[in-house]
Amino acid sequence: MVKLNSDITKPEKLSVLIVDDEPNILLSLEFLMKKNNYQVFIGRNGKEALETLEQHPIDLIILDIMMPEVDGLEVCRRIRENAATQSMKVIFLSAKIKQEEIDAGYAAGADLYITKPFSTRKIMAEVKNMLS
Amino acid sequence: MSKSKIVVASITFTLLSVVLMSKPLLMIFNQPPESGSVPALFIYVLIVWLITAAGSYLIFGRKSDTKPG
Amino acid sequence: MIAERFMVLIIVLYLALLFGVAWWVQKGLKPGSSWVANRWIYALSISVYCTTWAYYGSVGKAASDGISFITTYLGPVIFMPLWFWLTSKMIKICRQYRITSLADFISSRYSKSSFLGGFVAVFCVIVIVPYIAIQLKAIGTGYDILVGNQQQNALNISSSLLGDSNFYLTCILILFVILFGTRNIETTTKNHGLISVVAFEAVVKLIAFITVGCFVCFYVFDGFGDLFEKAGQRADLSRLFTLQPQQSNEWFTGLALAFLAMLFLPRQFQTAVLENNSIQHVKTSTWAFPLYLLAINFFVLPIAIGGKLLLENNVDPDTFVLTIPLEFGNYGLAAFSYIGGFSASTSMIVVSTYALTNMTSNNLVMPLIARSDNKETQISSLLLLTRRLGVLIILLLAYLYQRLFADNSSIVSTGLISFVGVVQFAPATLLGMYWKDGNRKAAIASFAVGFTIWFYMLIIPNMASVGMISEDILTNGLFGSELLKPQSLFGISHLSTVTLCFMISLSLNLLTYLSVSIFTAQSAIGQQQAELFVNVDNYPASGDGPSVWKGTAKTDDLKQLLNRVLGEVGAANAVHHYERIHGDWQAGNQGDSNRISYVETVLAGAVGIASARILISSVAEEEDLKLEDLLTVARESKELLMLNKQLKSQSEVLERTTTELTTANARLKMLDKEKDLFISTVTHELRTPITSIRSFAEILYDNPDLSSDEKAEFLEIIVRETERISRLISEVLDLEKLQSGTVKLALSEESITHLIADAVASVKQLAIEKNLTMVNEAVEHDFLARIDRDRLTQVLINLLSNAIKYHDKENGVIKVKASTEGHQLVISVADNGPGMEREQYEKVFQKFYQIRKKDNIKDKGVGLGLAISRSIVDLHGGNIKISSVIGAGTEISISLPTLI
Repeated sequence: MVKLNSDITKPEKLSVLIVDDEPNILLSLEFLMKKNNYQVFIGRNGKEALETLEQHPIDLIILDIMMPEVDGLEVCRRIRENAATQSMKVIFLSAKIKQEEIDAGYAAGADLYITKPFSTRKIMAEVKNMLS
Repeated sequence: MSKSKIVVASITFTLLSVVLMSKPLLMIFNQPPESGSVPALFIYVLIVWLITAAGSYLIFGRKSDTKPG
Repeated sequence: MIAERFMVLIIVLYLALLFGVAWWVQKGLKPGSSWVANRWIYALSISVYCTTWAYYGSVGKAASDGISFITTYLGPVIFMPLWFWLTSKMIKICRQYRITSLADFISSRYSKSSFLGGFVAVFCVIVIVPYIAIQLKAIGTGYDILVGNQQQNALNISSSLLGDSNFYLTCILILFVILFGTRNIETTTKNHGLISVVAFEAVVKLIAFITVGCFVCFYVFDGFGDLFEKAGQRADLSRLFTLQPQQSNEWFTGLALAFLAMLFLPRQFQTAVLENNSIQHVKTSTWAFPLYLLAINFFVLPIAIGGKLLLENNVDPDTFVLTIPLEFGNYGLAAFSYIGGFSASTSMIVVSTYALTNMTSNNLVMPLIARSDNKETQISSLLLLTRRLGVLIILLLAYLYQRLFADNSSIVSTGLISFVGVVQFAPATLLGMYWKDGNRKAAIASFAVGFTIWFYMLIIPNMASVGMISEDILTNGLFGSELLKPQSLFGISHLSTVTLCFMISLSLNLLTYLSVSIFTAQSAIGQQQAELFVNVDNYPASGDGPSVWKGTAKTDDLKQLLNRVLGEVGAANAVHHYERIHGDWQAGNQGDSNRISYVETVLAGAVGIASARILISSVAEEEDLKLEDLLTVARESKELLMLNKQLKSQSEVLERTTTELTTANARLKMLDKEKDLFISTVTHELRTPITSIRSFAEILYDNPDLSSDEKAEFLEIIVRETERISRLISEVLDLEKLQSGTVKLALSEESITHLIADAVASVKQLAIEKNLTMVNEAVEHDFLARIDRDRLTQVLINLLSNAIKYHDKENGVIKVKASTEGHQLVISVADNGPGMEREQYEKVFQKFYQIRKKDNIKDKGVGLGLAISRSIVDLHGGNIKISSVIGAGTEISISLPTLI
């Protein structure tokens, strides 16, 4: 269960969590988020993602699906189960492009599913849209 | 055994039995017994009898085998 | 002596038991099969061959003629294998053509002649009734002995019928046979109740006789030794141990006579052929029946000798099995022994009567009825009536014979006369089964000759001795000619009359049959039947055989005929069975010979072949059968059989092909799946670098104000990822080339040591970066091998870089070794890294498989390295092996057979 530490006051910046086991993705997205003035957290797999969620309030999460330990779908489900994080925005970013996989992503509770390779411009536009 | 083998075995065995029961062989055993012992002919017939029964068992067995003609 | 009431009680109880057994078996029947139809019941039922002749008569014969009595039982034993083949063929024929009796068999084989059938039936009655009579007599005599009656003077006809216990017994037996033998119209249905009683009685008589035997040998005397010794001291007894000259002359004919009789006695034909349920049972009987005969004959000679030693000279040796126990006051044993004899007698009577009544009703009476058929009468009820009357008449005849004549004849001599009588059927029947040219005229002629000689030599003397005819003929011969004296025909007097008659009648019989067959022609129907009998295997079983009926018959007429003979239910069953095989009963034109033939076969099962034929011809218009028709049918059926065989072999081929196709299909599907997996994996692997390249290219483009460090970093990533793509593509192509076999190794003699040194040098930098030490132990000895230098270097570099990549310890060590094992060159790369799980040994060689490292940092490689390495090693004819200990390290060794 993801707990929210109520002692931490809400920061002014919106925070984004990027989760992917591919370092390059983390690098590029982190750069883009920082440039757009978001606070960025990263996780290299689902387990790290869940740990981070416990410690910080996150506004939007970009999730890869194929990761070791805990995969993206599982993370999304847990986010949705937890009342505190229910309203968090979830974007799936995955190389799984089959229709049934996309459907599974939405079924797990995602707000958006983007396939790789992706356009950085597009993803930033979506993020800005969701967080405004 | 194949059917033709059974046929030949039957014929051979019958011939054998006939020979065993033929006069010359019979006369060999046709001697009066020494006192107190069972007559030779009695025993000879008994033995041949058992041999033929055993032979039939071996040739025809109990189960399986091919159908006869 | 035993009290009369007690004896009567025992007999009545035993009879009740027999009825009970028959009734119980009959009741418990499921239609079609029964547990009673097993091989042991069958074997026991054949032993109906042992009658009071075996039980009483043998002892008598042994007492006077010594060991020569045994020929009657040894005969069948010697010829058992032959018996098997003959009986099996007879069974097949009877089953296939629904034959109901011996008369039917002969009649059917010879042009379905009703005359011949009738003749055989009458002859059998004449031959067998005396045999039945002596069984009855034995029962009566035994009873008298146990109860202490003076033997009734049978020639005193005024002694009342009702006072004669035998009369009551005869009535009871009539009832028994009618109850259990005339239930079914179709005589081809098995009589399980009857047969089980016969088998039961076979057991009883065996046990009883053996008990008496043991009593004599081990209770009265002290074993065989004692018995034979005491006998040896008397001249009249010691001669019983050997064959006297006359007996040895007749030994072999005795054997042959017994064997042939065993085949043709109506009761044997009934139990061995008609009541048989499976050819497998016949096989068992070939050894089981001889063993039974052995058991029941074993004590005959001992009892005979014992009786002679113990009892007065005037005691009839036939009765020793009763009189010896009585002498010792052992009434229980005497009664038990009597029951044994009773069993032997009644089983013979019941089966023989049953067989005879079937013969007379089907082959004597039915044809007459059929010929004068008015198409109205319900034949089924008429048939049953005929059979029941037959039982009544035959048994009463036997009773009368017994009252009038039986006193004068011993069991054995009467039995032998019957034997020679039935042997007359042998040539025509046996040759009829194997020689197609034997025809009806020949059969009639051979029977006439045989019968006449039999009658003249064996019956006439009997008639003379009871005063029916003058004794002149015995002393002076026929027409006053010395050579034609019945008892020593042709002046031969050194053989017994029976033996002489046997030899003369059989040879003349055979000769007549052969010559008449050779010099006369056979009718078309005769040829058809000959073909069907001799070549019974060529024709399909059970009644739907090929027919050579040429003619037309209205379907309704046929149906009505079935109704009249089988009754409503039986007719319906027959039609139903027909429809299951041939389709609609009503369909087809009226000339459908299949239908006519079918009905004829079905009817034959009820009324006999000849009568069936007569009945059918009354409703059908028959055309003249020609030889061509017969040949066509034979040819067609042969073609059918051949086609059937072809079809079978073709379907086998088809099956094999289908299996092969299925396997091939499965393999193709698997390959297809592999291909799909391959494609999806490769494209998946391509996505990642392309994603990176795109992202960073966009970032570089959209953010011109990046710091130069950042720019450099991002551009480097782009370059790296591009390289990654190229590497992926080239490795994939490489692997594909290797696995598809299009690659030819460029073999040359190389120094392994140098090769290893070069490979180590290439990866040195990587090792240094990770603080690992490389140790090359392949320096002392130089190995030469024929290998592809570039390829093998590729493999070594792959192994080394894997070892470096996956090493997790600081100051770890990687060793390279080279050695020889026999003719193999072994190169190994060992590390003290994390080790591998056993399950992964094979997995790592799979395409794109990469072990996840502990820090989960994704590997820069593609996952094809080991797959490629293995392919290269395989091409060299070697193999790769992994061994590892978790936590301690891994060793990968390559062995190559290319040492020089």
